[in-house]
Amino acid sequence: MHAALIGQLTIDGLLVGGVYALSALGLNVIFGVMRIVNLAHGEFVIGAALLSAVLFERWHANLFVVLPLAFVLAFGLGALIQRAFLRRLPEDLASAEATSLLMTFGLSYFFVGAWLTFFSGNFRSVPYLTGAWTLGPFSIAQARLAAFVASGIIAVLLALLLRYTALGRSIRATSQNVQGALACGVDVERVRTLSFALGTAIAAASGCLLILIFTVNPETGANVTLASFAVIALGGLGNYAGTLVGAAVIGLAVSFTGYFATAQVAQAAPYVLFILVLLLRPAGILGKSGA
Amino acid sequence: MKGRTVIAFAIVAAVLALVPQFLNGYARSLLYITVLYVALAYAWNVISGYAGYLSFGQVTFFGLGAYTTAISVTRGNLPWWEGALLGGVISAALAVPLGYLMLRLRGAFFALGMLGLAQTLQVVANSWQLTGGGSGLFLPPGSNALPAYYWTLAIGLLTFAATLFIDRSAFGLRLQALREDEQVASTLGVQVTTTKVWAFVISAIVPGLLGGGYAWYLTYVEPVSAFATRFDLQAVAMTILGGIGTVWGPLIGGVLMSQVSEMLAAQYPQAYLMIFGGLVVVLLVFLPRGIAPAVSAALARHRARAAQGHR
Amino acid sequence: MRRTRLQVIAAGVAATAFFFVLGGPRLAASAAEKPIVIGASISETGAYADSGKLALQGYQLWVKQRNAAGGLLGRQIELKTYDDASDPATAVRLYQRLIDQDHVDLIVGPYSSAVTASVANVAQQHHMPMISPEVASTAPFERGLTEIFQGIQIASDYVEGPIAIAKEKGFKTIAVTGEDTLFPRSVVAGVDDLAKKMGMTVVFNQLYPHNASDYSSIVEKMKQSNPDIVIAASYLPDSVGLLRAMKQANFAPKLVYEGVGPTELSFGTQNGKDADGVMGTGNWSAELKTQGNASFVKAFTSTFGHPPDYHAAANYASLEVLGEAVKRVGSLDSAKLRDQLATLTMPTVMGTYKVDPKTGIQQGYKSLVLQWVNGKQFVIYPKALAQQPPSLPFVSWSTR
Repeated sequence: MHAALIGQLTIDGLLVGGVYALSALGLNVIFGVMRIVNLAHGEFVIGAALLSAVLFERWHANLFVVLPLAFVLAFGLGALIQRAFLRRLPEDLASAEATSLLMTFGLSYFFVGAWLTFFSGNFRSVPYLTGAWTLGPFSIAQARLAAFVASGIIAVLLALLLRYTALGRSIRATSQNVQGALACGVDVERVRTLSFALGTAIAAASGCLLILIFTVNPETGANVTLASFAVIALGGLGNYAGTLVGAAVIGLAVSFTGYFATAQVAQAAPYVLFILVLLLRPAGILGKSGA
Repeated sequence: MKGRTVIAFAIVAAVLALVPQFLNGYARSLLYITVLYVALAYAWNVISGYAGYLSFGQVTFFGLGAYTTAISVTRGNLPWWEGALLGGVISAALAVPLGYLMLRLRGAFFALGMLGLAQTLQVVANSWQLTGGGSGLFLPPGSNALPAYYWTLAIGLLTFAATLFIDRSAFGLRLQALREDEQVASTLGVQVTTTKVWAFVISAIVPGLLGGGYAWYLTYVEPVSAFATRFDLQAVAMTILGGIGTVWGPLIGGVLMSQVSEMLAAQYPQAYLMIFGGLVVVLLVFLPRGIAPAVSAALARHRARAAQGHR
Repeated sequence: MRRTRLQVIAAGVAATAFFFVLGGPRLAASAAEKPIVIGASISETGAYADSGKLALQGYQLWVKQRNAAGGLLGRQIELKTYDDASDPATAVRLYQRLIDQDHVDLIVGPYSSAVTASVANVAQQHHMPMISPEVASTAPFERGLTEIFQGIQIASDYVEGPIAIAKEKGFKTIAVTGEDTLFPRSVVAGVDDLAKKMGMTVVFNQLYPHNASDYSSIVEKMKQSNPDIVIAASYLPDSVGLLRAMKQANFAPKLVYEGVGPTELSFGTQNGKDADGVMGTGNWSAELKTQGNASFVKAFTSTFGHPPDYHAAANYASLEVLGEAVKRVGSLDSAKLRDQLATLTMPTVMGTYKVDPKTGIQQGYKSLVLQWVNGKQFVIYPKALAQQPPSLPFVSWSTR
């Protein structure tokens, strides 16, 4: 096979993988602290994507101005959802998991409907940085590179936040052991709200970057949710470094199957990988998701 | 008691069988859709309500049934109901190995795994020659909704009867035991895997059978609408409204919600998604156990008061 | 305990049955002064929302104009529409509702081939003739249905133009792609045969699924097959996505054709300069010298504040035909209307309406090839109607 072609597919795949990674990091923060699998995650990603597309259409708003705006809005929305609904989950863990799943499932459709109302069902994209740089035999799409770099910066900021701030320490403590965190005087309720808000805000940020690459409409959120979960299933729940690896694998899988098989296979690749990984190593994942 | 149940069941069945004779096509269609959703909700209730494995991908089997029927009719020249029956058989046959595999997953992973499965099958239907790819398959036109309605009604009644059985049998108790705690259930001698695979098969065979009626009703099967996750959303919302893991929940929730959604869907399809989704969330907060248990409790109180009055 | 419960349930069933019976047949109003009601469902939300809206406005404009001119058979006309959210099952129920519950007098087709395929069966059952202005695929017409009539050019004709142009320029190799659904499939179905006839080769032929969002891999694949021309049977969102992926892959074949996507005006706004040189199939153009076209464009633009596209024109033309059929029949008798629609030949804004009386497949309307040049659409094919010759080859991305 042509080395240049392999290189090109690898570049395309890895650059998209960066955005998947960011979206999955958001999910992972939420899961780590709250043990909630947020099925509405893709809707937050898509909501922000559509918002930035509309703002661009109307006022040619620069995406890197829109991104902080979407981040803040989503942070508020996330905090609100946690305060209003998720906080009221039942006490015992088994039914809390079931209820939270049903709740976020309901939320996801609520937001699909909301985005349809606000943004209509139109597919949107942002004609921003549509060009490409040529680098030897490769062509590097400007939008993809920008999205990748921005995702990387946000991921690094998140890592710094988790490692060096008081909030970050509380988040990590709560993720590891709720009782322990409580004993150390962590306000767990507050940490949960902030984590859900933070996870939602990261989803929104990844949406603003995703729209640089993809064409989306309100009904494409489920695909994003599933792809993000595929990333997490590959990388391990609560494992941040694993998330990056998982995202790279998904990005490459989509890019390579799209070329060597068909676009249909590429569309199914994240789900198939997701199911395969779950089935091949359910124990490992179960160990982390149970209890 | 048993005899009365059977009589009541027969009366309800007879009424539902006769009603369409007095209805126009639209009302028949609406009745069909209502019965369809109630039946799907009952099927979902077995694996997700009684066994506690939340599935957001039972539509996989519904689509499978629809496609099996369409293929049997267009390529095999079978009568549609034979195709629909075959759809049920294939769903059941597939559900056994699938159940053994997927039910190793718990909670969110099972739920998402099923969602992914539905998506994958949609992609398969989209790319396979046999299924007509993205063009889908046309069934002979000129059919009307009645045969599909009776088919769906029969399966719905059977599913209801099965639920009645599950609710009162040792099998149902075993399911509920493993919903509460699989390990404890296992030490108590419940064959955990066999029990939950059985539940999964029941929850698969029903949509598998119903899909065939749907294909006949629409006369056209294509990947996007055959594997639409909305079917699962509806089943979930209806069951939660009525009461998850109860005998009457899917019926109450299904009938109520079909009417509401029909009123909304015609004018505000996007608001309808918002309302279904929002309702799930609100119900989980304020009425997490649904209407059926609340009604039972009210009835029990009423009877207790009446009994006191007698004394 | 159980008996009480069963009583409650029985009461519930009875109440539900009552609801259905009440919601059932009502006396049809037949007073002459009542307006004639035309029913349709349109996809205002869902995947096809963009074009669906323009389609609806086409219907609305005709009704408005007709009413201003005294209506039909001396009665005013009312348009009753629902939104089917691009879902076939919903559309089926909505048409039944229109016919059985709302007692509309006439129906016209919904948007998109998949939705129409299911709805056609309802029209058949109720013996309600239906012109479908949005179904370019012939498959729904080849099932022995007698009540549906195609109100738009057939899809298999679409690629004839770009291939003829390519042939003239001496281009040899073709890459074919498109969305894998009913309509785009029927657009590209005939490419192989046509190419052979023209002495050209298809070097790549692969479709992408509905709701695809990333086109980079399929574009990379096309690029590797190194074709002279790209034929993509695309709607608007995928035509934009494909074009962008082509630019990012620095892939510029000599001719780019993207189905019906480029005929939409927002193709230009979404792609800016990148749209230049892209061809698409228009079934209609504001420049066409068809009967009433100029005044249609003017009235449409002043009513809705934006110019019409071919969806609007096709839907408008379908009502022109239906109105004429009603006038000729002199009543709303559906059997007579059916026969009239099957045999009628008349000029509309789309061209001359004429269908095959057996299948209802359109034979009169001819499709046009449009090309974006300097941010505007021009008709370039067929030559008789061309506003200017094709501007070829497609300009490479680096020299724009």
